[in-house]
Amino acid sequence: MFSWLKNIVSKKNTKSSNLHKLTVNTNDICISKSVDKNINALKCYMNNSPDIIDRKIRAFDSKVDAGIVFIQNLVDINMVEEYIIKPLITNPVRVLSTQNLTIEAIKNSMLYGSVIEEANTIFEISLEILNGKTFLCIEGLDTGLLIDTVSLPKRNVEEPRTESTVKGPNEGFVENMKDNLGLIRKRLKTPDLCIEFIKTGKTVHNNAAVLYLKGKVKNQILQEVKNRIDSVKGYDIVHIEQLANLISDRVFTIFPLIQWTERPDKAVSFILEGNVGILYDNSRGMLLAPTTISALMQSPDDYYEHWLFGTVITFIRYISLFISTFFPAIYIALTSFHPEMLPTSLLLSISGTRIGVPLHPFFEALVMIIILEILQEAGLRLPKVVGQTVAIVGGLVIGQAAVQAGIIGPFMVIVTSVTAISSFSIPSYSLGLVTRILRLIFMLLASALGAFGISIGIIYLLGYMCSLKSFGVGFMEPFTPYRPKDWKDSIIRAPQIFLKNRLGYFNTKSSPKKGGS
Amino acid sequence: MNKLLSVLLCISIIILTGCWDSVPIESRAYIIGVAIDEYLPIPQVAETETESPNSIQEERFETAIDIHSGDPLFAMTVQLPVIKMSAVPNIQGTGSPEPGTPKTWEITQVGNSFIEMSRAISTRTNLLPYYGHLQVIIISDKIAKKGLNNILDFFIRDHELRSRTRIFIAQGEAKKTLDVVPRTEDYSSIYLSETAYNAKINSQMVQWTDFGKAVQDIYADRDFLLPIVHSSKDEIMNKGGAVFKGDKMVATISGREVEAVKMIRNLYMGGVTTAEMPHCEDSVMALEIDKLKTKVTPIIEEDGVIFKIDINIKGDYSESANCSFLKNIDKNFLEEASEVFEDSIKKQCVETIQKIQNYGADVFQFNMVLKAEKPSYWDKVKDKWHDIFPYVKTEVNVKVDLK
Repeated sequence: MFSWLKNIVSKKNTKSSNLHKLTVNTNDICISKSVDKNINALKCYMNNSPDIIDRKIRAFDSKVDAGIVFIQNLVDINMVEEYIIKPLITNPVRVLSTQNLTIEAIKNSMLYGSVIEEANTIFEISLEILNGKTFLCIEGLDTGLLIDTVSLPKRNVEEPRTESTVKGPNEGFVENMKDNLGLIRKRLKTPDLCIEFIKTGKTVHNNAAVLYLKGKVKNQILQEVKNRIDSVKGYDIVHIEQLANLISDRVFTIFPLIQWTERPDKAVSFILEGNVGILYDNSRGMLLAPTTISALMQSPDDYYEHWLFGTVITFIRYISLFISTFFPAIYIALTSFHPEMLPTSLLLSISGTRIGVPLHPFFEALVMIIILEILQEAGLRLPKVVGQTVAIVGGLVIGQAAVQAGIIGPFMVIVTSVTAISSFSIPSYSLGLVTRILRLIFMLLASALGAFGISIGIIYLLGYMCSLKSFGVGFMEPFTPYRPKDWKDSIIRAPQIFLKNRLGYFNTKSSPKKGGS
Repeated sequence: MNKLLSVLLCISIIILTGCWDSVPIESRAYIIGVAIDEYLPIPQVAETETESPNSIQEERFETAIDIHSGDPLFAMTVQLPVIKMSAVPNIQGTGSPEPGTPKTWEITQVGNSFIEMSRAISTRTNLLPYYGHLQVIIISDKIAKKGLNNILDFFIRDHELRSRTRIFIAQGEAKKTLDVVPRTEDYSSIYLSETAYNAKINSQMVQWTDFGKAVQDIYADRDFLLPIVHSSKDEIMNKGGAVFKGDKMVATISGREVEAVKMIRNLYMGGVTTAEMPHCEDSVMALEIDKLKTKVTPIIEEDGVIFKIDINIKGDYSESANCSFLKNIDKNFLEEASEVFEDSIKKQCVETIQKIQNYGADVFQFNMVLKAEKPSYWDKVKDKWHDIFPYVKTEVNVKVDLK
């Protein structure tokens, strides 16, 4: 919803700037030999914002005029002073005379900056200035230099917030692409790690970085990822999740078809398996494509513990996925359609708890589930200090009071809390959201048709999930297509020595008979 | 727009056609026990009751049913749990319901047709009668002697009922069994149905008591046993069996006879048997039977068929009671003891076979053995089996392996 609005707004913006360009047509304007003209043109092009700083200096023993332009907030002033202004002013033109002063000479023997590029169109230069580089032009030369002096406001590497583990590393991705790349590079010291940048956006000009391991990645998947990012270049994407939605296989699906992670260790292990990673400027987290339901159900902790614990916990996670989707629906079906399915003693105690409850089981469940959703949402919005307390107290108070007031049966409170707790044990937050939607749908089906409705829903849901594809790989891998060999790294977590083979759908050579490629 | 309309249509079809069967769990009346009695003519009851039963029956609308023809034959009593009472300690966590408040509600209705009686009961409750959790059907022996066919038809046809419902024959009035207030369980029906689980340590009770199985036996023309229950004010005893020939009860047999039948039919689940101790006056030793395997082989001779019954018992020597000195339990003694047990079990079996042959009900299901083992011979005798059975010869061999 948000990104959709954004896109509309950005489309309007691009239209108006196009009109502007018709009159000025700055895209192709090259810089001139005059420092004054260049500086004025640049400032004019960038709408004379006050944070654009220009400085004219007499360089090379006051023989030549030079000018620098940068944006105050994006550069390290010290670097500009030390690495650009100081050498220019203090260095005499020893080797060269003013006549054959070339840009190469300045670049090669004058400046201390480590990353220096040449540029000569206003458009290109302004973009780089906006990226935090410093522009240098010399009187008499029609090529400018861009020196990297970036120092963006940024956060330190911190603990990942959504995917915490017990034993894993406590580094999480941050918003800075350089730091994120560093976090990957330092774990994956191989020349085979390829990084490709793709520029996106008409107004925001952010970079997407595609990461993959040469030799491991399947070419079709890599091509697909790159093509899709190319195809959404026109959108102004602010955050990586918007990119994920745009390059997802289906627009209307509620299932996450791209995995988002903020754990570099997880990202590295997925890249090692052959996944393609996508980083985006100013976004916390990394996208991993393709993804499957079994990948979404894994947690790095499975691999940091003894394999048996990993297996058991994975199994329990699948149970909790089931509970979180179906438990309220099953409760409704049992209490309103199929009392014969309960053991007699349980039946008597449940019906005892429901005596005097005025609501039909469906509405009883609906009230509780809506309260649960409200509590979850409120817990997110509330300040961190009070958030947890309020959520817990709110839950307890509402649960207790509702039972005592006789609006809700105590058994329903158990159902709701078990459902909520199970939904939190799903490692992928996006998948947790999916269960929240499905839960409501199944409750509706159960209230209309009982267990029959639930089974209809399950049949449809399974069919739908099997039809989903993430970058050419089935979402339900390795359940369907049926690949029992891959189960050792998805449903069960076999000991490390058995995990040498890669997952079937990444096999580059022989592809199986159906699906997967 | 058309697509949207069709989707809405599909959803409304699902939602609007459903919900008919939706009944909230608390608005059903879970009938957990049914007792079937003869409709007692008034004077008989009047002897035992001080109040005029006629007035009670009328006061409770028990006889308020429009019968199309004839006099009412049956009185059906259903037991409903009074759920509010059972739930009170669960919710509050403290205190038990006030003493004296009944935990169950027994509703009696008289009539000829059971479905009619069942519907008549629904005129007297605010809840919807529901038979899905029926635990026991108790039939009084008088009704059972008239035949089960009349009764069980409704129960086997009703879709809510499970065929695993247990069926019992009550000695005397069946309703009395439901009136029992058990101490460890809230409801007498559940109490009674759970007694059958003890058949694995006591062999004197009949454990194959499913109502579906009884109906199968009736339809397949097999004779069978059903458990007999006796009740007091707060106890129910499940011991002994009712012998059914066809669908009619012909006799009752004691617990020891039930034991013998179970041994011969290879349905023994576990239990103890006792015998007199050798070399020791007035003392008793006990054998806990671990494993019992019986093989019945029909042998056809000129003058008829002989059933050879081989019973193999493995068990532990578990007790020697009332013995003046502690005897060394050695190998010789065990051999001696097993011989004594063999004799006593053999005697028990032979006596039981004789007794039951007198009733003419083939509860050993020798006919099934014959049908399976000697089908050609069975074809010749199957029409007159009921005449042959009382004179069938048997040969019982018991082997006890003591540990």
